[in-house]
Amino acid sequence: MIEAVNLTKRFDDIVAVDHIHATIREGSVFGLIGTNGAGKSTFLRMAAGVLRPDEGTVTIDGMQVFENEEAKRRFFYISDDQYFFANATPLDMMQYYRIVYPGFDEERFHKLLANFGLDEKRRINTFSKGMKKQVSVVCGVCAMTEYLFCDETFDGLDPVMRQAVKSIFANDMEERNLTPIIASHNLRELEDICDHVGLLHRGGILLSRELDEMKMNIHKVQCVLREGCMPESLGLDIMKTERRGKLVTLTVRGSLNEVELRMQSADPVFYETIPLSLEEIFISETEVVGYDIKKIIF
Amino acid sequence: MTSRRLYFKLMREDLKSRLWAFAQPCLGFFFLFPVGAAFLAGEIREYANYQTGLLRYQKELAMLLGFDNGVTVFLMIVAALICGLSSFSFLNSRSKVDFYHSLPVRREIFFLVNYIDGILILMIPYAVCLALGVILGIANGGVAGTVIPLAVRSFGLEMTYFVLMYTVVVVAAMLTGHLVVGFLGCLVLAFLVPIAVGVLQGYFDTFFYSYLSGWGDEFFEMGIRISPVTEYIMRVASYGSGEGMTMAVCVAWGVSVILAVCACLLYRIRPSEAAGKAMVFGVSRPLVRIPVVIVSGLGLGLLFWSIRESTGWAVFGVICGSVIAHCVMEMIYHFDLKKLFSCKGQLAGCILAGVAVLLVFRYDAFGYDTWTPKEEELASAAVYFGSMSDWTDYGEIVMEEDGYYNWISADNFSWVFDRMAYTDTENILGIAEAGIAKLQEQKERTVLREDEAGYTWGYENAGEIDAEYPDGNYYIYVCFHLTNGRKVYRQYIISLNGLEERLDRMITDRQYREGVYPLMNLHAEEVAGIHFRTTRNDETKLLGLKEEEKKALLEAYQREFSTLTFEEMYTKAPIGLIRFTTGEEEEAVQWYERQEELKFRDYSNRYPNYRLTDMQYYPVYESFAETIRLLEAQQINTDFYEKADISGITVNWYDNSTQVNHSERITDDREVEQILAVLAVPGLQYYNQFYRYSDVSADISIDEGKSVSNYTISFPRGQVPESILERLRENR
Repeated sequence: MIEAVNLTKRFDDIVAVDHIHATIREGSVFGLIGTNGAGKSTFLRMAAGVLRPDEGTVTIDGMQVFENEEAKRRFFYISDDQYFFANATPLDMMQYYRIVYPGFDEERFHKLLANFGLDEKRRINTFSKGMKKQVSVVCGVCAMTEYLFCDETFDGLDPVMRQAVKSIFANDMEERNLTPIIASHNLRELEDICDHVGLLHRGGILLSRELDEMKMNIHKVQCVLREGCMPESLGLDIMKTERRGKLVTLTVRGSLNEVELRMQSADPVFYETIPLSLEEIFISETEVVGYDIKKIIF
Repeated sequence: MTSRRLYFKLMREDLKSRLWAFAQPCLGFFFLFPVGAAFLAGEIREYANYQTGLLRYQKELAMLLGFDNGVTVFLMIVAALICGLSSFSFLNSRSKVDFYHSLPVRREIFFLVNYIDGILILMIPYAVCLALGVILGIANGGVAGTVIPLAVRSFGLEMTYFVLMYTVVVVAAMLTGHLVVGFLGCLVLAFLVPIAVGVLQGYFDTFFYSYLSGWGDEFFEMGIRISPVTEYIMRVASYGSGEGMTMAVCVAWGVSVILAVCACLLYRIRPSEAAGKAMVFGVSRPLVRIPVVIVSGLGLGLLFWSIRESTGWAVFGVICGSVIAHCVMEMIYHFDLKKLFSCKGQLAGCILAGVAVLLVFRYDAFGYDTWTPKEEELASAAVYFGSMSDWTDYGEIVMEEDGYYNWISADNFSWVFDRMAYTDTENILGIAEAGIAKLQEQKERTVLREDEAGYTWGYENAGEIDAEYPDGNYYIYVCFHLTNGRKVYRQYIISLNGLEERLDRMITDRQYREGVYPLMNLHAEEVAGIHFRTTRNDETKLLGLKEEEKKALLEAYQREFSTLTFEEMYTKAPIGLIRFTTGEEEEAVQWYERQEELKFRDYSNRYPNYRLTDMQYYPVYESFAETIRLLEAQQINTDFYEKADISGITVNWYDNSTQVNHSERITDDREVEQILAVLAVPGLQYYNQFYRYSDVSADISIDEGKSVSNYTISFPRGQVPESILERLRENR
């Protein structure tokens, strides 16, 4: 389990991560989503022991990460701009990782590279961005660590490769209880793989929940209310209201039952509850704290 | 996996990824040692005598492989910079930092891997190329017993200083987060203190007139040696003396270890987010900037002073230098032009400090120039008064490996300051007081003049001062030996007016003479030959004298030279020169004369050192009756003009008012005799630094046996015979 308690990181005057509390349980895929500059990469870099927290702690299975070899052996960190040695081939990188990760699965490495169609003796600096990401993922998976930190790893992968990587993750979760922690702002990529989502905004965590639970607790209601009946009088926890003529679209918090009960009791002319996509949840949640797309555009 | 196995595996991988770094030392040392040794071997054939060529080759091979090879020094400095910065350049890149610092490897291990690899990258090519050079050298005639220990020793010494410089570069890399700033950081760590010391010395030199540059500067020397680069270069320069090398090596290794530990600790606390920033630790910013700003301000202040010699301009220089340095530093720190004037308070503090230092020096706030020791604190003194002895030769004749004799000069000041213990403290303090009074007088004039026409005095304007003080002003250098063991050095400019008695008392003192003139310490049993000359072509050698004759002549000369008065030295020129040679010196002289006849054919690539036959001559004055009598007893005519048989002299007068030269041929025997009675023997007037020349000179042709020599000799001022002057005026 990875646990962040009161985790804070400042860069000069900027608070990149602001007193975050989060728990990441093993065996699930944790999606770290957030606005640009929300602190996703900083959080991951602290979790990877690259950065020392200014306040709070981040532990892996109860161990402090920073300068702790034992804790670091449990994860592999793929940064958003993964470094490869100058003129190194995938084989060179494998030889290096094999030294620092004693459980590195060499056989699987060769096999996965072949499956991905990557030449293990070709210099990595001649690879495309997506191919480099593939090499990173293959190295990360073959390091056979318990956790895999991926910072924008899916960015640059084509849909087929994305699916292939997701399959590998799913397989490793099944077989050896791998816990991938994936930071991304591409919510569609995460929606079908994440079990748990942490939403970061301006350094603070807005929410951290199971994805299903999150989806169950936020809904979109389209309705036509009777004359004189206002949405505010419905008794719902309304996050957002949109009107088009008589058609009102509400984004509300609460369980589906609770929302339907309230709507029925108001006896509207028409109503319909629609599940929200992760992207819509993200927009709604961030809008509440002032990250409004309209404000940015207009 | 054990840490040791992990360490060596990481080291191997790191070296593999840094193969490019081997290129510079490989190329440099390949051309320097194996190619150099082979190249030198070709020189043997250029010698007519194989043995001489071989000896020369062995000597040059030793220089090539030895510690004092300047090219090796250069390569070591460049390699230390490249290896140090490249070893930890990964810390300047975010992606590399993310990569390395997320791996399950402790930072200490990474540090050790990169630190040791940086040394190996230099050490391996250096060792291999040096070994090849040794093999080639031995194959071509080098002596294995000499060359191998020499190479091993120089390898150890070079590596010592390489590791020291390299470790300093590593510390600079740890303090900075950008390659270029890291390079600048190296310059700061290596040269800030020596430059600061240089500027401070400049202030002493400029504002303290009694400051004797280069003496008693242990503090300055220590400051200069704080830099590993300057310490390395100075060690190489003084390597021949071999003094203190063991201690220096121990200190260098000790400092290297301490710095390496510091660098490792800095790496441990270095934040990864510092990659790409100029300075890693905020606290180091003012620590670097403040001294740089103050030194820059003082440096520019000194430059402005040297141009305008005005306090106002110097203060302006301090302000400009400080502001410019501050802005540059801030721009480097922030990579942002808008931040030029950050930390204004610190800038103001630096300017105030710089101006305060300038004014302290300018107005001698601590009384440096007025200091003299109290008489009870003064044990003795060493005095160098060059006007009395600048013709004296200090040094020794040495025979080199190839049989070539050379004269190795010694520093005048060192020779005198190391030997003299003049205990007439009352007299030397009196001379010092006169010097201080003179300095103060000139300082006061300076202050008064400054606002009017700019300030001119002293050292560069001797002519002007001469006009004010007809007797001239002369430098005198003093080393006070205090009773507490300290040595304090001062220089004064003195006027002879009123000091004649004190100077006479000093120069006739045995302690002074023995401390200034090496001949006064010579013993009769050491004397092998005696040479007397008036001119170079008129020399007589006395080589077969009996011991008692040599003894009598040496003692007579020493006695008479000891009693030579200031008055005589001041007014007269000597009539001849005498040299007492030791056995070794006589051999060198005879070797030179033999080689001269052979046209130095065995030393075709070396310049004949004619000084061997011209050194160590002492003046004989006409008052040295006993010396002259003993010389004449050996059939030496000491009267140059008497034996020259001169029948005519051409007298020239350059009339400054009309800028026309007037000549008059003098053939009258009586007039010729009158002229010769006052003329100095050609060249010997230079043995009297106080000799005053008139604008009338005499052209004389003398048949000196080997050739006819033409001499032009100026009359001493005020001693041109009146009859001659009248004739010149008449024919104007």
